[in-house]
Amino acid sequence: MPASGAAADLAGARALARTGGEITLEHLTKRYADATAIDDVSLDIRPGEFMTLLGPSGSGKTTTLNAIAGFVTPTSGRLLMDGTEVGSAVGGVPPHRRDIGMVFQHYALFPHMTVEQNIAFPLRQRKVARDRRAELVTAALDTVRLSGFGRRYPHELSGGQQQRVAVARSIVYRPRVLLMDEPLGALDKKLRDWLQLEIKRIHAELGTTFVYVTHDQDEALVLSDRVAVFNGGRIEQVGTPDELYERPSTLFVARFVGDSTVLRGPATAAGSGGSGPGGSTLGKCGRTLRAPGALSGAGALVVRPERLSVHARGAEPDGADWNTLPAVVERAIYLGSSRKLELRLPDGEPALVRELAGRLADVRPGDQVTLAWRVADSVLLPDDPDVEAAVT
Amino acid sequence: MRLGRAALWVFCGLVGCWLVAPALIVLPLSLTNQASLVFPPRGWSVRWYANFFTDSTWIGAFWTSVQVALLVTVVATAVGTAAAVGLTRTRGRALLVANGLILSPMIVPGIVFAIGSYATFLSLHLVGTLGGFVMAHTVLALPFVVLPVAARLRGFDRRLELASASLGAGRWATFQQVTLPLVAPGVLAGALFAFVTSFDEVVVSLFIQSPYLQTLPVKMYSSVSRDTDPTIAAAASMIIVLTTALVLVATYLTARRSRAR
Repeated sequence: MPASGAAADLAGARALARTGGEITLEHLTKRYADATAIDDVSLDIRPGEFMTLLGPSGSGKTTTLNAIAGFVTPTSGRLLMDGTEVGSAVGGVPPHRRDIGMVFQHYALFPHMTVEQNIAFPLRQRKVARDRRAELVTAALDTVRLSGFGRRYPHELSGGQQQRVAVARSIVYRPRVLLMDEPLGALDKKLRDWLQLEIKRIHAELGTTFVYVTHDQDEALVLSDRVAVFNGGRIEQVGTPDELYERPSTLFVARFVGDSTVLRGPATAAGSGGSGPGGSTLGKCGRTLRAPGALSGAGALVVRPERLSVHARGAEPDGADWNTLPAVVERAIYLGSSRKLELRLPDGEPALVRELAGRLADVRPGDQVTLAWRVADSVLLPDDPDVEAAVT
Repeated sequence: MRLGRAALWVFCGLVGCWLVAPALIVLPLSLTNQASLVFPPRGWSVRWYANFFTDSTWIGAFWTSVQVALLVTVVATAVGTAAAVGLTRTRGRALLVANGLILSPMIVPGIVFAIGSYATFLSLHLVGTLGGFVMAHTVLALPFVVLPVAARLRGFDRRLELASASLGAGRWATFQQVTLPLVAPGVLAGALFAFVTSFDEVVVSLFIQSPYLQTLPVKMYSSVSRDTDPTIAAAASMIIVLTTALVLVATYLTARRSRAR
């Protein structure tokens, strides 16, 4: 049958398509005999949203995904889909009745079935008529750009092709929620970049709710509408990629999402001798730095590398809205479109600067320079002594 | 070095002969024109094969054996596969106990098992019945199904079952469409072993037989102790051919399946 017919058919199906499902996690907790995998996780995933669960390994993101799929029964808390409870400590709707699709890191294609048979599998479970099945399989293969591969067996395909078949298999029956567990984890960098865009395109085409698990923060920023950052079985912050990057709410998020320079020191909130209304000061390298937000105690001032600039001593910007610190350039890494400078502060702590091509300061390793940044471009957070161990 | 290698080849050849000679010697024996078992035969004839197929006690025993073995194959394969699935999903003490019980027919001496079966079957009026033979042989055949199926299941990627569930297949649909096809070579091997185990079982069968219902090995045993005519060699030859053919077919099917993957 002609592919255009199938495409028109899929367009028709799209017009009728149900929108993505809404998922609500309420105080979800999963304890094992010797460890707590997730601890009081609450999260609202909106219909049609691309939500990424981001965190280091063992942070609870995969357990959360498996709880949504129904593979893990929570110890306490509730899981709702479109307002209906589907999971709790007493069990719930079994995985095969949850109207979900799932894509696994290692593809999990059925080795004894051809590509077509793999994609038709969920349709057969739903008793879709044979003709209709063939149409939908053709359309799904079109969507993942694998037309003509239907008769092959999974072992005859490359890793990237297998994963696209797995995606086709999980969207062909148009589940309201698609769960993806590190789907690009086993692929090389170039293929990963391309498939990220493919996944984003498919999400835009389908309107299905995507829940995506990854430990790769770049991937999370590229793909997601919102990201939930996991650490030690808890959610540290939920937000859009730019919220996480520009306004991290914990030091862990600041360190895990994107690069940053962290300036640790004693903080004092305004009113107790600070810089201005609502601000704070932070003692660092014998200087008093200005910081936004009121905080007293052990503080960590976070500045993103492209917000920092490097100047010759004495040529730095001056004024109430600027901070400056002396530093020594240790390494300069030229990256084409940008340059990375690694610097060392007088107290031995590192700092990182990224400069765009065409705006490179005239410095080389060994130079004594001054670092400068606007007060508004930094974020003051409570210090967390365990953060370095948690991030890696 | 060269000499050592040659000696090794000779030794292996001798061991090989030692293993198959008793089976192969039966073939010429069955083709003798004499009325007694003489090796080597002095003249050739197929009269003992003709006798096998025309004597109602021989052909009757043969069909009884086939019937029992087929029923045992069906029952033992179904039960053994289910047991293997259960065993590969069990841990700890329960696994040890279940495993020991299922494999015990391989360890318990056949004669002990035979006496136990005989005593039980007497009171249940199962001696000399088709059901009795099938029950006894199924127990003996069970380990030969469980072992290859369990081995196959241990190499099976359980994530495929999670994938199947996420795609809308319930437990039974998943077993039928995903798990079973992927462990099929093990099930096939188990079914074959079950058939062969039943078909040539003699110790237990001797106890639970009756003059009206005998399996082929039982008939052969009683024939050898009464009249040693070469029909027994003809029967033995046919058993060899049948079992060898089955093994070859199963090997071929298994090889073809793994190539398709």
